[in-house]
Amino acid sequence: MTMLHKYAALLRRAMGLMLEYRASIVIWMLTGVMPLVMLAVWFALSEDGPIAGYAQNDFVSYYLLLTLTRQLTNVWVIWELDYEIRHGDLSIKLLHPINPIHEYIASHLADKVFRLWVLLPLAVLAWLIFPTIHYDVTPLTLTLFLLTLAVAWLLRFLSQYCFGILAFWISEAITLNEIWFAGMLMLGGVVAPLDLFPAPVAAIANYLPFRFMLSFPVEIMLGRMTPTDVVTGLFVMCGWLAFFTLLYRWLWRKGIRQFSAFGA
Amino acid sequence: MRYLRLLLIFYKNSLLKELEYRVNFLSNVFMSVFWLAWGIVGISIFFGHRDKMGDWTYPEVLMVVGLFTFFNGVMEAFLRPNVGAVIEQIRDGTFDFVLTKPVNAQFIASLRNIVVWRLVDVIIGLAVIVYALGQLHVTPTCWHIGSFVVMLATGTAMVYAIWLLMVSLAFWFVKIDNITELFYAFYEAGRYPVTIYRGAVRVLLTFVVPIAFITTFPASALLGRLDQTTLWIGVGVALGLLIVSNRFWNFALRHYSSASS
Amino acid sequence: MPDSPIHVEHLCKYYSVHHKDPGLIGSLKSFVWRKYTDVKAVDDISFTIHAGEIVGFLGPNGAGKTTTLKVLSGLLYPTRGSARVLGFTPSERRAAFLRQITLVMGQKQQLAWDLPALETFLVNAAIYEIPDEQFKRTLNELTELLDLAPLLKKQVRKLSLGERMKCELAAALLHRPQILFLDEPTIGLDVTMQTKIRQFVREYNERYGATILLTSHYMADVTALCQRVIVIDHGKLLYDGDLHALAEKLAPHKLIRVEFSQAVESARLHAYGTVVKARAQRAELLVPREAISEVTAQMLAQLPIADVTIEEPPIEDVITRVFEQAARARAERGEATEEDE
Repeated sequence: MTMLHKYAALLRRAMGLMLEYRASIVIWMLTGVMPLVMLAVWFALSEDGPIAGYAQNDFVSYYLLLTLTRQLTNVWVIWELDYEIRHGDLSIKLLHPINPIHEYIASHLADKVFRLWVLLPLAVLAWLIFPTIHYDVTPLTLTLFLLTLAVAWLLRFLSQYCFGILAFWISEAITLNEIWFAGMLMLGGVVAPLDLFPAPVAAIANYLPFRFMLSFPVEIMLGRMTPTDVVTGLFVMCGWLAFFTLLYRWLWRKGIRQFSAFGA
Repeated sequence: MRYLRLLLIFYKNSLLKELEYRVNFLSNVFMSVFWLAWGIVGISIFFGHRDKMGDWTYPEVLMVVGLFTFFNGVMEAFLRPNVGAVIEQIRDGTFDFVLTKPVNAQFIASLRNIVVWRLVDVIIGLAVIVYALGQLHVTPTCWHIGSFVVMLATGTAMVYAIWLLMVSLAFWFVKIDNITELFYAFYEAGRYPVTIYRGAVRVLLTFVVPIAFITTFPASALLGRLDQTTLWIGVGVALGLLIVSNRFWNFALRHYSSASS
Repeated sequence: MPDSPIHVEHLCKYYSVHHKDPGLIGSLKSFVWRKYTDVKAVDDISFTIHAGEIVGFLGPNGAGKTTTLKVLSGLLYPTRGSARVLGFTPSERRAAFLRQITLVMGQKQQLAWDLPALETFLVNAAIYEIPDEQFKRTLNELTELLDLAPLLKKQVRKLSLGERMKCELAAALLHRPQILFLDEPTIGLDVTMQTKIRQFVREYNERYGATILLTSHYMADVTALCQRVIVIDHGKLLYDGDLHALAEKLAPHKLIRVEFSQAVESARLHAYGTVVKARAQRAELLVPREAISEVTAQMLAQLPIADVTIEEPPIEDVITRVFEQAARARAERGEATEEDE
């Protein structure tokens, strides 16, 4: 019985649950509309000419794909983790001979499958409504897009999970995570594509984890980066992935220790 | 008089609750500063490439951002905590406790909770407005300040009325809290002067989600650019909305009390 | 004994809690500086449990019963002292350890709320690495023992509390653990369901020889299932041994219930023992154990008795007396708290 077998079982149940909640999921998807608001802003602002090389249809291409990316990398584990830690419900999960993180991952994957069902037709619709949007579509970019999309989700998940683990010590983990999320909105390409930032700020933003949680996959499809940029980006991305994986493991060990000291 | 004392008790309790969570306090202050920075960064990025946003200069747009933050502070401190609270109470049936109190239900529902730290937004928003006015070397006249206050009041009244309408819907559609998220999304667009938008979007942001009345028009008023028609339309619409929403709220309450067991 | 599955030695579990004065000044003070005190949830407890035993933990709320169970199942680690279960240190939470135990908490559930119980069973089967054949067999046995057939495919949230409890028990036992920790398993259930659960626990113990630790508020759980009880109060172990021996030690009386064929004055009854209740044709008396046969014979000879029964005093009274004695002892040592008043 491998881990795969256990994941299959967890996923199966998670899918069942998702089908039960499908109406709620659609409504929750409405909360990810910030990129569309910014699209309206930049679209209006670039009416009389491109800004930093982004013309109106560039903004449309960018923000539509960013919306899709945001929906597909969506993470909410901290609410569940925080609740279960502070109400002692985590005890139930700790009695099972499997790390609780896997159940959370399974339920997030099931949600993505469902969202894909909703988003793909919408994406096609968008393509029809905005015929001028354009992406650099090649087998290579598509593969990289999917890869960086998966890693983006993983980064968002792991970083939010780390904040959730803080619930072992403080009662305001969710509030702290909001700060992290705010960072992602600012420096992950939502307020504006990172290219528009003044050069020194953009230089720093390019190395921060936020970029790889949201805008990097979009940048790849927009095709404005040089091959060197892409490769550097991939390296930095892997670096952050390693960092958050290690951070998660360290925090989890400390957190369980704390939980076993205090219980609930 | 009784209501004033009640208000003070509500606020004292909210403050006590917040003092329990020290990390929240620091976070809240940070988030206030962040969202102000969000607005400023957005426009600064733009002004790094252009000189004017529509026919607004940088300090003028800055004032709009300041107004948004100021108003957002008022919303987050007084309005939003109650929206969530009332909808949740309706959902888990504890709203009955509100109805059985010998105090006007709308009063309690609207003003029960206050998130004290959000008042930081009010302060920093005001600071930005004052700074922007300083940059423009503009000293508003009494009339300008008067129409500014009127616009602000009408904006607040409109948003409150719309909130009341949405919450009233919660008596029928319990899952309404996600729809309120949609409202906030439109509201976000008001961080920047509404005049940059064209056509349908502009109409939307002026009348459906009257964000223009909260930020852009008061800013125009301070700058002496507001025309009388807009002013009086605003007052009229605000009064109308207040009456309609109050009626609808009472209607919803009657329906609720007769339906729930 | 080298192969006792559960062995606890001088176990202590302390918590730090911070206190706040009420009011605005209190809140501002606690904002700046926090005061902590130690709560001794478990204070120097030792016991050994042998394979196949069913042991009851008795104690009032907050006595330390649940804390002890949580230490034994690995959810909490000891502040001092040690606990060993099946040769493992529970707080290390090794997979091999977790696969052999189960903890059922009456108030918490592991079943997914919006799906049928069977879905969670399948997940558990994978998590505990139960081979298909064994899973089917165990599920059938549990279905038979607990009457689960009509419940398995219904959404858990549509089940009644009793039905849910049965499914929770099944979910907890799919992996045939050797050690069962049951924390208030019958809480909130109606009397019929309580009896069913007790029957199930007994049958499970007989069939599989599992070692069972049970905490409960309800004396009926303990009297029905446990030979041995451990009484805990304020974190301290007050008694560890046979339940009826405890009763005999603390309640040196037995209760005689009589029915008379004609009215008898209650004044006459005082000669035989302490009168608890007296009506025209019924009475209850407390009589010392040693004298019971003698007194009964006297009564039968001298009174017009239609029916007589001899009973143990209710166990509840016995246990209450244990706690009262403990409270008195604490007061003498000057450790009285608000609860003792």
